[in-house]
Amino acid sequence: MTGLDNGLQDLTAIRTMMERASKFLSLSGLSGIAIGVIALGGVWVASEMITAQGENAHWPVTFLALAVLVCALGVALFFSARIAKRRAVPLWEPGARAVAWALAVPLTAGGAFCGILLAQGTNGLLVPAMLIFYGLALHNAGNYTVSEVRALGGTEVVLGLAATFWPSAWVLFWALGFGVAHIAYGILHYRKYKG
Amino acid sequence: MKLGVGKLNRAFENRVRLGIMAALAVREDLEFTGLKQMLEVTDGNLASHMTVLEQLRFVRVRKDFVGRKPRTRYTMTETGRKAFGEHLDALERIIRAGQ
Repeated sequence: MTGLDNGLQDLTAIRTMMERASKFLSLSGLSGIAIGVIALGGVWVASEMITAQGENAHWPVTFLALAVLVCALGVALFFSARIAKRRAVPLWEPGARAVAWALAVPLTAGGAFCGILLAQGTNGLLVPAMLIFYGLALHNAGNYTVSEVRALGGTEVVLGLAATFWPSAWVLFWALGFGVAHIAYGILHYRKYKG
Repeated sequence: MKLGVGKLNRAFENRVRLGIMAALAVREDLEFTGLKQMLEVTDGNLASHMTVLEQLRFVRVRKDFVGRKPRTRYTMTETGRKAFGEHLDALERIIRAGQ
């Protein structure tokens, strides 16, 4: 049945191209683990700063949070570049662009929202807002990469909502959301996708 | 049982053209370089297949500049989408008949 064989091969080719065009698959579990560790380090430094300086620590802590974000992005790019090299595809493939956009829109809105909270002194909502917007961004990005990212996003949103009830426990929720959840995701991803 | 082979579009017999259509079916527009990377073909190869698809009016080309670099982007036309859909239906029939 050459017609059938041909048809099945065509189907495989179509599926591959659809996936390549729409999904970013150069994601590494090591990124998750490293980001989690960086986040845990960051929250430890932040809580030390706040204990030592109290209210005056807001701007240094904001600066620290931004530094943590830049480090996390850098680490994710580093490990993704390694995976891309292994898969012999360029890092900046069409799927990567889709993921970048999917993340950028909710994160920009969230960043602006957190800036406003900070300016108004509504600090109790900062960590919940970060977790919720980050979770929505991940959930959105999950459409353009491995689907487990959606579950991680959902987890962050739930943690963010829970954190709204206990603003004083922000260190705990930050550590759970940005630390533990990333590490757990990273380990699962690494085991499932071998990288 | 009558096979729907007649409905397979000959324009999509070629895997590169089939791949172009599959990619454009899921992404609104793709750049020449992006498509080239995904399909793992040479510039000339992709360009010649694109010309065929353009002539059939299955894809639309847009050329512009990003800074000084020329950029070529492709989108699928309604005609292209319809033709590709019918081709997939025909493929489905063949596979079903072969089961």
